Amino acid sequence: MHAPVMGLTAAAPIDPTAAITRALVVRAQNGDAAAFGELLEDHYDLIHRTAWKWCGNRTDAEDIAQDVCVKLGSAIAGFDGRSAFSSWVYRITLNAVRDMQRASSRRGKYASAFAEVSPEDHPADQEEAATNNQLWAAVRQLPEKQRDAVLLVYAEELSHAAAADIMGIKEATVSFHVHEARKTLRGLL
Amino acid sequence: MSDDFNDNPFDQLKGANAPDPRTDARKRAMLAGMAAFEAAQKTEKTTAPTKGYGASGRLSSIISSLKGIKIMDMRIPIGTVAIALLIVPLGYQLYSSTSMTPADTSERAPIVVADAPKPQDEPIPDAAARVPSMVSPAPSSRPSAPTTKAPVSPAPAEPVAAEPAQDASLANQASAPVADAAQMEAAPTIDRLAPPGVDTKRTVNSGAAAFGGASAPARPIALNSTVQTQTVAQPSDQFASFAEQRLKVAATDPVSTFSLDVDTASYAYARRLIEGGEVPAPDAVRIEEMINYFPYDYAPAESAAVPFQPTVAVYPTPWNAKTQLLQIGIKGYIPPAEETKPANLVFLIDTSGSMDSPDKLPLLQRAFGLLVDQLGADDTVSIVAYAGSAGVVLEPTKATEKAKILSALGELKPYGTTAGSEGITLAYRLAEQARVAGGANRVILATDGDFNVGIDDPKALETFIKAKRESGITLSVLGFGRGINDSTMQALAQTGNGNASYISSFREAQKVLVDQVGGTLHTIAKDVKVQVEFNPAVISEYRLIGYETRVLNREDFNNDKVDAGDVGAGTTVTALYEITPVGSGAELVDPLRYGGEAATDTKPGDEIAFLKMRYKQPDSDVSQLIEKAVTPAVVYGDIADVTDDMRFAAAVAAFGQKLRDSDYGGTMSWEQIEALARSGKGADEGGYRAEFISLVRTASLLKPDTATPAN
Repeated sequence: MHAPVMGLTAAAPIDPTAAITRALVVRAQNGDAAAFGELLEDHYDLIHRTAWKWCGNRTDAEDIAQDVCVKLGSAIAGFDGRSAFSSWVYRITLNAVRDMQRASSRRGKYASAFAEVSPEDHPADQEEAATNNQLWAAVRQLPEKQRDAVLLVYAEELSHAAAADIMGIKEATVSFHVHEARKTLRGLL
Repeated sequence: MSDDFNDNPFDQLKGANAPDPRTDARKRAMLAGMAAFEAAQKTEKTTAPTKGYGASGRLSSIISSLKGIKIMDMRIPIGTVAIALLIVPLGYQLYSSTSMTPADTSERAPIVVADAPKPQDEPIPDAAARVPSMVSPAPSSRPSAPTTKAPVSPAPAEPVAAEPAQDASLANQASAPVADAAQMEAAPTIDRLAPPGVDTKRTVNSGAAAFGGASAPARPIALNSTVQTQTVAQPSDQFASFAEQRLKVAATDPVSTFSLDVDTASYAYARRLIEGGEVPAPDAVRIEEMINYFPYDYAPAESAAVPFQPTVAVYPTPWNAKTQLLQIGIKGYIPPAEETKPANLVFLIDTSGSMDSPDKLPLLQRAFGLLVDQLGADDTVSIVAYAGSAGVVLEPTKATEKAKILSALGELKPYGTTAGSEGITLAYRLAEQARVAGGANRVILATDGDFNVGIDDPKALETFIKAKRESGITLSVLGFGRGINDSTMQALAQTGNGNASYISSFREAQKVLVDQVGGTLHTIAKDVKVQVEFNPAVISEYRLIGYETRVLNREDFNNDKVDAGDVGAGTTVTALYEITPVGSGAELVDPLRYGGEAATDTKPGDEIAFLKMRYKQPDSDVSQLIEKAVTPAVVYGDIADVTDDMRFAAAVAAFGQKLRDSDYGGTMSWEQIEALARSGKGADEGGYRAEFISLVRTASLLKPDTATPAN
């Protein structure tokens, strides 16, 4: 993954992973189920990780990941390659997160009360603790755009340009959302 | 911004690792994804991708014709739009709020919304009425609303259209039966005419008319509650809101009419909430469904010809020493085993991702397994899944092939797709395909609240179900899990002439699908209506407990076209009236000073009330009548003398009223209710009553009595 940084290279170095992904996408778009399976295999972790970071609990993350897989399956034919495949996957995942959170806020706040083991009873293991502290909770409470911008830029460590691509907004707007988020959180943290 | 750079709080977000996904979740997601991919591939082969130039070329601008001429012409449409944006709302405001509003529009407006039992004078006038108000608010267009209406409405229907709505508040209009009959004839044709989606507010079917009882304050609930329901406090579940039955004065309003209700969903729902530590919202508590949840030991009917006979008793009210309870109970005829009719069942099962919870799909699979065990050699079963792995899971199969049915059930998986929602049409097609003449043809919809069965518009869905009901295929609804849209569930089951049950546990599944399977499968009487006429010489006031959503107009009783509840084999149904005898001192309404006596002289002496019940044989469209006088012979002086069943029913009624914060009878303390229920526990074969008693105790902790108990 270490692309050599050389000022002299004229063409951008070809990233082998990206190239393979592109090839798989083309094959999947032509109806190759095996290629699509490989794509899912490669991206499931990304999807799940993102879903987890965005909502912070296992059940939701798994549900979202499954939804995203389904959406990928039905929509991959329409992927136009204008942005990177991973950006597209991010975008679908974020949409799924949003859909689920809107749906669950409608469905009822008490649903968790009926879960056999409520989240609080379950001792957080280290990894959960890593994504469940106060800062994370506060960030997840942010308005959608701000939350997406902050998590993409900081938690996913993407460039502002990549985040802008995923969110479908301008780069400057990403910076604006991050800045707004910082203002919103200043009182809380 | 730069000052924040030194201490960026978000830096801590870096490097957080989400835990690895569980392998089974991963595998499930992959499978679902692959399935969706393959489904997409299949459809794609048939339809060419539409990108860019289609038949008409790519639209680059809506006003492309102007574009070539002069770019500045853009100003005209934009300016027009801007002006229109200003003028249209302003005009509408003027139109609707000033004296320019024509008198007749303001009167008609409530009719549109009020969902009165009136004929469909087609959606077109409705649309016509809407169009002028939105688009051309100018006064010049005002007369257009009435004129467009005239040619569309069939001539005889025109007066009817306006009348029942306004008459609705005046219960006993002489002209009403005529109007009603006309409207009922009109209804079916119109339902067919109404295009789905156009007329969401007011598609009225006979069911709506049946429940739109004019004499009760409860009428707005009607059938299409999904459209105009106020969703109540319970955040996740939707209930049609309804007002409690009010007290009636026997001298002015001696007749009470309602449709029997065999649903029990409300009790199961309330129980689940209470056991989970919540008090159900008042609108979730339908007292008649609570009372009818429990089996009672009424005298059985002798033959299928008269499928039930009413049991009547009058006994003191436990929560008011001065009033009495009139209990009317029936038990449906149980045909001997050799007479049971073949059943043709289609399970329409929700397999959306949300069903993936131990109390949903797995419970459903076990529950249907129980049901399949009950079926005999003449019965057929088919399975259709929707919202998810949609499609026919099992073609109509003889119930003797249990292994095949059970394995098909077991293979249902909650795949999180929402595609392919042909569900309901498919289910009815299978029901049609395997139709058994003279037997039960029934679609059983099992869902956790996702009613996306293929017809999105609730009205269109009801119309569809109603049309199928007339062709002899009925619909029952089983609710699973939380978040169920109760009002939709009720509405669908009522429209489909089936029953709605809420399955919260395996035990409940056993009750609904095993113990009371006869009620679910074998209808022995349909459109059962009850009419009670009180003798004002003996009874001064009365109040029907519950049945708010089932009230009928007085004239509906003899109108065979008005839909009402169906009774299944062995089902027991109970109705309670709280009655105030004349001179008891418990009257809440002062007597009239002038001429209240006229009505009393013709009454035969000491009869308390006269009970009439109408029902139809399952295969008939003509109703039969059962009559019974309530005489002093059935009056008990002390509640200790009555049967266990009666004491128990009274306890359940008291419980429901207390849970609802009823205006009446909420004065008993929890302990008193519990003691009463305990005294009426009887043999309690299914253990349901013991469960009720413990439920009362739990409720008493959730909603403790205030310091001043009753009496």
